[in-house]
Amino acid sequence: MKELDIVGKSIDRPDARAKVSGRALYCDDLPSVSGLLYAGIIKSPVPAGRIKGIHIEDALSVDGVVDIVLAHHIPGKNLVPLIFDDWIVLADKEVRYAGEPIGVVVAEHPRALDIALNKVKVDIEPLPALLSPFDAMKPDARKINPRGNIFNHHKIRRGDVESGFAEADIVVEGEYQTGYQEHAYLEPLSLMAKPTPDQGMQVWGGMQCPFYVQSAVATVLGIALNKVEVIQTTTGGAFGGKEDVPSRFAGIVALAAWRSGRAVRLTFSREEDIVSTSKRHPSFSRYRIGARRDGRLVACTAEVIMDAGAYATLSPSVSWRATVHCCGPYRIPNVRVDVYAVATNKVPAGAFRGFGTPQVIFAMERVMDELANQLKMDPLELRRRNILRRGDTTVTGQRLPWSVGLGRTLQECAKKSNWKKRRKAAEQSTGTKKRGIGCATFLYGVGLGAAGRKIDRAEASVQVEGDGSVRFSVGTTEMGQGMESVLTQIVAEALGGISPGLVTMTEVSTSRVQDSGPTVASRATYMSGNALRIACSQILNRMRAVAGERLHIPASRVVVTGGRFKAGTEEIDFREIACECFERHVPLSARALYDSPPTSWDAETGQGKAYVVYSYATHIAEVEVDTETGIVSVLRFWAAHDVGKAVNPQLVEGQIEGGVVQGIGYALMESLLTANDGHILNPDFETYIIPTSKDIPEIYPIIVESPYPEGPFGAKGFGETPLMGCGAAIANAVSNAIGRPITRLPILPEDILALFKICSAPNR
Amino acid sequence: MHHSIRDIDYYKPTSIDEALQITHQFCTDPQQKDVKFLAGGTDLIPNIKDGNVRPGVIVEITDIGELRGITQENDQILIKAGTPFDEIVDSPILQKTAPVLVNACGQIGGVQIRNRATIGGNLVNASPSGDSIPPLFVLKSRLHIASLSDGKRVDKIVPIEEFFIGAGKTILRGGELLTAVSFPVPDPQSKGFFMKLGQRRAMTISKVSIALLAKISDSQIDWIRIALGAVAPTVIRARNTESFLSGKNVDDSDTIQQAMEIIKSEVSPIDDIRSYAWYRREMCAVLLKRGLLSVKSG
Ligand SMILES: Cc1cc2nc3c(=O)[nH]c(=O)nc-3n(C[C@H](O)[C@H](O)[C@H](O)COP(=O)(O)OP(=O)(O)OC[C@H]3O[C@@H](n4cnc5c(N)ncnc54)[C@H](O)[C@@H]3O)c2cc1C
Repeated sequence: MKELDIVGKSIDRPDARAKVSGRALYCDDLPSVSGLLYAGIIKSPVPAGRIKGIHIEDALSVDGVVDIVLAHHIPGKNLVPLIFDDWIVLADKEVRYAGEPIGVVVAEHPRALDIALNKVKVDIEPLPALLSPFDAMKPDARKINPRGNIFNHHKIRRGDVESGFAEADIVVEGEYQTGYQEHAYLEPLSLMAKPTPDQGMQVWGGMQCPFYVQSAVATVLGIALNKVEVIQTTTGGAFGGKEDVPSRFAGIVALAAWRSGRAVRLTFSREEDIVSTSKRHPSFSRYRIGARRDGRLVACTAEVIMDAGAYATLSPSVSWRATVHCCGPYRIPNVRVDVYAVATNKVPAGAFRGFGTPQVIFAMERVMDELANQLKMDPLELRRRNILRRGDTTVTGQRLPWSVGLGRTLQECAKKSNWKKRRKAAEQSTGTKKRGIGCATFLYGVGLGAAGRKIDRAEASVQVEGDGSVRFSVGTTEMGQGMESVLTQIVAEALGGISPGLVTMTEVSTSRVQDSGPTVASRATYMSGNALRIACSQILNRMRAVAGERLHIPASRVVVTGGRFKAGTEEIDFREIACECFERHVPLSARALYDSPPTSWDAETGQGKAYVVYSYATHIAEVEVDTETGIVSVLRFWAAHDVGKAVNPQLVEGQIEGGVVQGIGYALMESLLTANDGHILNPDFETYIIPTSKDIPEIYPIIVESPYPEGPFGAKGFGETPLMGCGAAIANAVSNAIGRPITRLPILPEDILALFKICSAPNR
Repeated sequence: MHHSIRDIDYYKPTSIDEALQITHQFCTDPQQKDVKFLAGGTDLIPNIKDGNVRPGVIVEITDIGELRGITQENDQILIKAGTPFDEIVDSPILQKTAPVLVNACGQIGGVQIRNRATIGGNLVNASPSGDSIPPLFVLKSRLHIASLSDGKRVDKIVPIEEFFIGAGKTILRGGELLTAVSFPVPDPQSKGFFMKLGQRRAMTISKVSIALLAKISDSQIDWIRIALGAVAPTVIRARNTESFLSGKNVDDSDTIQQAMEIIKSEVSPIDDIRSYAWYRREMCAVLLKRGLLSVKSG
């Protein structure tokens, strides 16, 4: 393969300066447009009830209030289009969770909003709220959602689990629980809508998926897609929290703007954001796993219940991904998996980095460690004997022809962490400070997979200017993860190794490229990257022809590297050829659509080619548990990730570090509490606790590259994976330290002490 | 509910007398606007935002030079109320005479909070989890309070244990200003200890905390003072435990075990969003044990 000029180097982020110097404009910072109005959401005070009446007269008379918009004002459909189309924009007949939007107050200044919101009287006849998925699953339970309370039941049926278990020398069972996790991105949700003179709507905001927002706004207003333009503003983190949620609120803001004919902005406070937006699904799972004496896995069953909240939103997809990832990265001949997404009277759970997998990885990796204990085998060795390698077949029956770097991640992680030595040292630790070390191995299906096949494509356009500078547009978004840097590098490389300083990305708007799907599932690098690579090669071929003429050799013999067109010792700079092409009217722009390779899925058996390719990782955590206070300290964390090709190694390390921090929060402290009346008890950062720099250990990122031939320069998506194994690895380390099985995340000090029977386990 | 800053009258005096005059004028006003002093604002502003307090008048005291600084006169240490925690942490006087206080103040919030938050604000806010309070208890602190009476300035001094009357409640009446906290330099032979347990390692409110000051000679406890945070409506002294321990041998593990039982019986913690009563109670015993181990070994 050709030597790479730009890809594989840690160039500076093009967006870094504006962000650290405060020049980057988040939606709430956008310069005020004339006549701008402010929106405030009327929220349901109860988790379940029938709306009997909404009294808005008093609120309308508040000074500065311009309008109050309710469901019956919607000109199009009261619907946010997404998977099941069950999600409404404004509640009209029934409310299904505390905080659900019922209407929107629109005012000249934000001060009027709170006064008016307090004067809106919503007359609701409360219904008994179903807050637990177990209650909601009972056959006689009230239907929360017209579709029924079980949104999905995904399955895997592989081999014959009964005979599998009969073959097993050892069978281990376990029940596991995980809690909510809040995204805690930098800036709360903010969206602005402005009507255009031609009866259209422009929308700005921090978001992951402009095309979702476009379709929601068109649906709510009943107008065509070409009348809606959505422009993404600087987005300071999303982690899935800005995947589907902005669609609903953009629908509301656009509706308000539509009626008033004026621009309207909605910006949440942190508290409002936490009660109104999606979270990671809480989960309950029961696992059973069987192995031969040598550790070979022969059977696995898993039953997982995910608490989805009041609307299906993304739960069908989240629970499908959980299904595919349920049994880890192992060869297991006999498998039965049942995953349910269940409605409750709570805010809809949704996408969160890992998308349903951290829950099942925690359960599977815990049960694997219990198995290792029973077998008296080193847990890393147990994994080594079972992990998928190139040519193996996954539990969904998918053969893996390439890019399976799992074995290497395991090896490297074991070596760099000095696993054996530390494990032995942990066993010998005595006193009240107990050391422990634990691991997790896991995979991640890159892209939308078979469940999202219909929307899994991405378009890109590239334009070389007359001076040789380049601009490109994609439909996926930068949200802090570094996509802009990576795609800039891919463009610079694909145009012959030009300086990345010549390349800029345009702001992401639905008007520049066709619907490219969502920016989720770690798909931006490989989908948009591939589309860009194709578009760039079209331009480069035309430039090469011109260069060939200048160099008096056939175009095919022109060598392009380091931003120069070369023939022997003669060479011409990229910019010069660009200038010449420009003058000779040679087209210097190109567009390309990259279509994801085929995938398949059989819903009855759960067999098929679930994803185009997988990323792999091994995590190792070393902890110290204070057995008197229950406090767990993570001392060191090693994370080895097979990313195919690290387009920008520093960004890969940054993603690993950030993901591990978020994973430590998930494992050890983040605990969102719902009161008996359905309200979230701790919707702020005083009481919802995320890690600080003082809670973070030394993190050792390890990059493994097992190239994916279909990916841009061998790259495959990996952005979500660094979080995914942390809960499992830390729980295994804590279990190792205290000699008792951890079965629930987060692992709070109170829970540890409860395990030592100072008190019965606290209820959460 | 939203309370706009625009609804609040704002003053920024430069002397204690001026501050007292401003507040006095509003406290005698028949309209009875609620007056609040603003120091670092790290409690007041979040409280206004959450709608817990709705002052009509704010008197910012950060420009009052005479409210800031740390001095030692003979065996008396004086910390002015408007002194921020970072100054306390960096104070050579306090590092030498009251490391237990320095240690506690160094664990408050994070760097930004310690740059702004004041010891006076911590005291007047009167949270049972206020981290400077347990050390001030064991140092036998006294609080200096100034007010106007018949147009004349009146200064009074009260022992810290008489200052708090409930969670978030003190004996201060409207218009009264806390000017300083003072304490005698402890016996140089004595040793202090502070430890807090929070939900994380920084920027965290104590779930339970302990401060301890003791003089131990040849393993024998001459005297010991123990204060606990976040296990009762106010910070409390663990008097039964103190009197049980005085005169005892710290190396005797039975003694420590018994003290651990006694301290659990003197607290009245609650379940809340941060932790459980049972956990807090257990931790009083664990923190006591750690404190005793620490002070005996120095
Ligand atoms: C992120 C964060 C982390 C925190 N972490 C901690 C922690 O770890 N430990 C801890 O104990 N606290 C913590 N706090 C709480 C707070 O910082 C402290 O209580 C601080 O000492 C308050 O001081 P201040 O100067 O900011 O007070 P302010 O907010 O200005 O005032 C607090 C109250 O005291 C009154 N007041 C202030 N000064 C005087 C005076 N001289 N006379 C009369 N009344 C006065 C005010 O009117 C107000 O009612 C934290 C707060 C935040 C926001």
